[in-house]
Amino acid sequence: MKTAAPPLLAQMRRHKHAYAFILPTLCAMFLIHFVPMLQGIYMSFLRLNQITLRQYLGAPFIGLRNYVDILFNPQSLVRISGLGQAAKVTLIYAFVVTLATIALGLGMALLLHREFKGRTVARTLFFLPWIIPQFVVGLLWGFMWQKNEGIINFVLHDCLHLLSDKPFWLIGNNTLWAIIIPTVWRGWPFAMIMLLAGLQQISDEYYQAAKIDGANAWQRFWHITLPLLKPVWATLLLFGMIFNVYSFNIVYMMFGLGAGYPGPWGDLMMTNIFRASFGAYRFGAGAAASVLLMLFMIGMVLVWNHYFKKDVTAGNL
Amino acid sequence: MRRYWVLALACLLLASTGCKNKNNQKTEGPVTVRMWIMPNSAQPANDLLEVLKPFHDSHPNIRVEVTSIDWGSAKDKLNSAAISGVGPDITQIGSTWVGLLSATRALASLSEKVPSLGGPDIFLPAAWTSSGLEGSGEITSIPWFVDARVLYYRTDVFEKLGLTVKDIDTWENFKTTLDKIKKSQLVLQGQTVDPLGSPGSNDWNILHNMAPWIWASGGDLLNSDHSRAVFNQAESYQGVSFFLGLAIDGYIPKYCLELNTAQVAAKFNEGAYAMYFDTPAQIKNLELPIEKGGAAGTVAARNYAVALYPAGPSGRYTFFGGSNLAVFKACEHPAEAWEVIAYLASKPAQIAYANATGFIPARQDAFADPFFTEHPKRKIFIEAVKYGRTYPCVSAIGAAEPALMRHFGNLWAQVSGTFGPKQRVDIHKELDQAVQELNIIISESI
Amino acid sequence: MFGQYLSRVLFASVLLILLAVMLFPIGWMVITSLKSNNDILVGHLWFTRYSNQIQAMFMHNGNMYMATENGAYLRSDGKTHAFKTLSKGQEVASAFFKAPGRELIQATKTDVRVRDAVDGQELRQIPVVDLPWLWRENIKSSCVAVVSHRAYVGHLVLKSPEEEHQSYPGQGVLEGLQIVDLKENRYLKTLKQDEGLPENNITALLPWGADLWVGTTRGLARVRQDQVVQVLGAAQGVPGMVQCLWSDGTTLFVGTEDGLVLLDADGALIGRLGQSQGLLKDDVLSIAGAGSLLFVGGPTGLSVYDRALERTVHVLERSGQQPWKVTALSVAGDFLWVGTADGYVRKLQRERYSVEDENRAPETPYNIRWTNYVQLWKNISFGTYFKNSLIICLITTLIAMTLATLAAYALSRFEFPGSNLFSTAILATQMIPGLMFLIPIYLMFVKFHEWFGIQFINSYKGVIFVYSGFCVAFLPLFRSA
Repeated sequence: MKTAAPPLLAQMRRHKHAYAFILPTLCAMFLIHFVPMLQGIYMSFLRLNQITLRQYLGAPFIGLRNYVDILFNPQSLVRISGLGQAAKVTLIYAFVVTLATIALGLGMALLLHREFKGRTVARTLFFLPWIIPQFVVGLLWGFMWQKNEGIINFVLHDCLHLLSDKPFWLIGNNTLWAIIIPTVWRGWPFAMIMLLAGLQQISDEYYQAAKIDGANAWQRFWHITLPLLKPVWATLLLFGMIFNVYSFNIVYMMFGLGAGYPGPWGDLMMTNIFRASFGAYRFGAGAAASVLLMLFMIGMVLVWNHYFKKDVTAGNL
Repeated sequence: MRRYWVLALACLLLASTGCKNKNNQKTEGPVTVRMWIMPNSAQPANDLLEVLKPFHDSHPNIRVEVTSIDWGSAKDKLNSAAISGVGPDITQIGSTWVGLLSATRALASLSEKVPSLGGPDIFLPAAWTSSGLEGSGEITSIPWFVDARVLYYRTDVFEKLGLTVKDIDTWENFKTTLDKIKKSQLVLQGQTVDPLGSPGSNDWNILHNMAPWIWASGGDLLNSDHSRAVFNQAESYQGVSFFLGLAIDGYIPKYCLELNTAQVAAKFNEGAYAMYFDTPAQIKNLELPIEKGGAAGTVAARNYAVALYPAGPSGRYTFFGGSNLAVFKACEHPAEAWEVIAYLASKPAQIAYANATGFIPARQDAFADPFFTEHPKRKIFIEAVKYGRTYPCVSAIGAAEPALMRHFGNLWAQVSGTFGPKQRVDIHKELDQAVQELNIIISESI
Repeated sequence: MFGQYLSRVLFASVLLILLAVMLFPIGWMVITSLKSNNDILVGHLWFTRYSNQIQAMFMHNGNMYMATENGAYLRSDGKTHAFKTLSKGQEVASAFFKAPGRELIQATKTDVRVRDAVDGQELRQIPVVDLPWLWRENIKSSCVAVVSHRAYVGHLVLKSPEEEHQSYPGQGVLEGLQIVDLKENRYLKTLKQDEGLPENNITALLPWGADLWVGTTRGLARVRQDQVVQVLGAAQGVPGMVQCLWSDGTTLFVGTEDGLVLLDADGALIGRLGQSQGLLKDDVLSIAGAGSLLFVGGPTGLSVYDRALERTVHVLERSGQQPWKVTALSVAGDFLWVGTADGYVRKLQRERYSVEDENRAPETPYNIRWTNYVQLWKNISFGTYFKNSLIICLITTLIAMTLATLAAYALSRFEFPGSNLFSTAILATQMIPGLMFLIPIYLMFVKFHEWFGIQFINSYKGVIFVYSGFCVAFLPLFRSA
């Protein structure tokens, strides 16, 4: 078909129904996503601060200054306000959270895939963390992580005697764990449900055949389950990465309800950009950082596309 | 093809309903003045409407519509309103934001209206500093209420150890007293009493808590013409290290450093600390029954008194926060909006709102009222307001607040000793970095 | 067989442990949601307990009836030391009164109960107000008195400032003096502030002859035949809140926050007793008397004042760690019963003031604040938010689903020029940081208003519009379906 393609216009005319179908979505996307995005990109070329805020897009155009500041000027405001550290932490955070979420989700999915009484109930209960809003998760874990009065230190120190002393979770190096664990806790049920749905699609014949061939449980998992689930976990990987790089709410709520600075190991890209934009009124710089983050994410998606796109489109997703 | 028509029709319908609504709004009637406030009391909108009742009675042509917006999202909303010109007529703004919002030129000038109130002299001088961008000569906001920090202390602890207010009068005495309380290892009402409670890095008030110590040691945030940050000089260093030293020496318990002010206050009420610094609203809180969400009847409520900040080497200072009222340039009814503001700046309304919120009025003559003179605890503010001081009202300070909070938060985090064994508290380095950052902000804010 | 069994047990236990760990934070959230605000801020791990302050005591033939905020109890003296629980739980902020005959009247938060004075047996209940149990936390104490076959019940109702302006169940009956006919067994009416009472919050009741003295949080009132005939406030020498009332037949003793006020039968001021007369504190919480002796309970202990000698003859003070906050007093024969705020009832020998016996009121329930949920609906108008969410969610889902199915259909059915670009664009929408949207969308809506007159700001339309747009992201899910 590709070899003898009719002229483009004719093709388009033939598919006018298709265009009609996507038109509403296209309009919505244009208004809600692309107009703001273009404005944001344009903002990143401006010197938009408290003085020029009212002019908005009429603010002085400074070209690539904001980008140069972020990328090459270690003495610029954005840099000394910890954007580099935030980028590092965000990367670690997003990787750990995404992988841990999928791993935990997969483990639980395998556990819940077998037949047993009350399976539906167990699945529903395990799904509960996902329905809790992120703001509430941040608030709740903020209380739980407290040094003296927090339930976690109480359980670890007073009940289980795992720790000799009650550590700080909300100040210092431990803050990284304090934001990773709640995010994983909230995120894994979704991965579990998706992977469970994927598991149910895998025909039992594969396993029967593998058993006859003498494959043990690990081999069956490694050579059948994992590859066949690839469309699911690849999608989860992609969306998990996107979601977690842009994570904001949990960190924002956990450290003094949005008050100050979560510390070098708790500050993520989004909280940093939020402070730069809405706290310090450096909207131009904030927009530039957002655009860079977006470009980075697009790069990641291209990499992902390269490795996984085929599996995903060929599969059930 | 039919689908297009359906869609177009839907759009049209939506548009026409929108138009209809707009036309309906134009019916004759009282002018609606829309006002944004932050949650200053338990029931923000109702409490303010209660205060506005006499105004509504005497001005049937004006109706104030009060919306309470959260402190956390207030800045975003005010920004959006500033850029688009669509927002409320009157808004409450934190006194430290005045510089920032005035710099955006979104606020209407009130300079001409001020004389009708009785001139700037009717307000507390420190509160009036935040009425408009410094150097612009323009008044863009009217002080509404003031939040002057004071020291709350436990009288039973002081009685037991033979201490008096004199013993917390100066820095040296204050430290000696803290030491005495720490060494006594007092247990009252079944609870060990730690000398001092104070939030550390996870709090909105990091900067406000630190500022009085810097001022009292002779330091300042900015130099006199606000062109440079100077708080890495010896005086400021002395103030910062004195305050941080209270935690390093163990007078402020370590766990305190991750709490916020509300948590510290609640623990003080329960009897955990001998002293702590807080806003005037705490007095109201300690008088309100527990069943109404207050803390009357708690250990602290039965045995507390209020004192001024201890005086440092170069004087006594207390931080003056609070809120102002401003009118947006895009306001549709400036005359009516001003009448509302003028009413809220009048003495009875100031006292009524102070009564509702627990904060103190911004008007000088309000302090001669029995509300203050007759109240055993609130009396202290008659004196405390004399030592009030706030940040210079320049746009750079507002823009620098996150940076300052970050650096001081870092210092508290270092004090808590949670960055591993190698980490040391390096006040000089942190202050130098903060000053460097602030200087760039200042240079970019001109 | 055994192996299979073992693996099943193993599986079940692993599952249960995982379930416990994973759901623990949710459980903790539920627990936190029931805590009082103060418990959360202070960081109490578990709920604190309610006070079991002794609110009322009543002696009858050696039986002692006692009420706390959480229950009503009977102690048959000489037989057992244990309390027999008459009623317990949040419905009780009880007070007792002996009616003519063998009857004992108990007032609770919602009804009046008639009991047998000898064994405490409940004879009948007269419902007064239909108050959902969630709202009963607001009633802190009650008092009851009987005058000529009518029971009068008053409550001290504390509402949070948020509730102050709102309507609530029981309004109109709860506040004021409730009047119940004991013969006809029915609730008659409620006497309120607008009929002359100085305050709706009633703290003490005392029948005297045909009259009833009503102590409120703002002065004293005399009620005769269900009419307020006299009001005594600060101007008449009764300052502020009345905390207790007692009479020896000739003089009326009014315990206030600012001393003990003595009045004659006409309500005229006779005198005042306070710290300057040797009492421990001016704050008078409870009062009882025998002969010329007057027992006055205060926040730190008990003072005994001799009216004949005109001086305080004895004080029993217990301040410090566990102060004796004497909230109830009763004289029976040679003994004085002292009820304190920490839940103890002590039997004192009257000659030597030695503690003969002490009993603690049964343990009280934890401070579990179900009202948190009520307040959710009441103060922050959760109902409105919920309605908003529901409307927005429903319409958004409808629009987004329509859009997405249309587009998904087009994508999977046809391979048209640009289809790849389109699906990539959908993915790309996910790359845009949310923070970038805030100001542009707001501005766009402002322009919409200017150009088309459609009010998108502060309306459902705007939110639905934005959310529907965001939901495009779910298109891939539709494609798979």
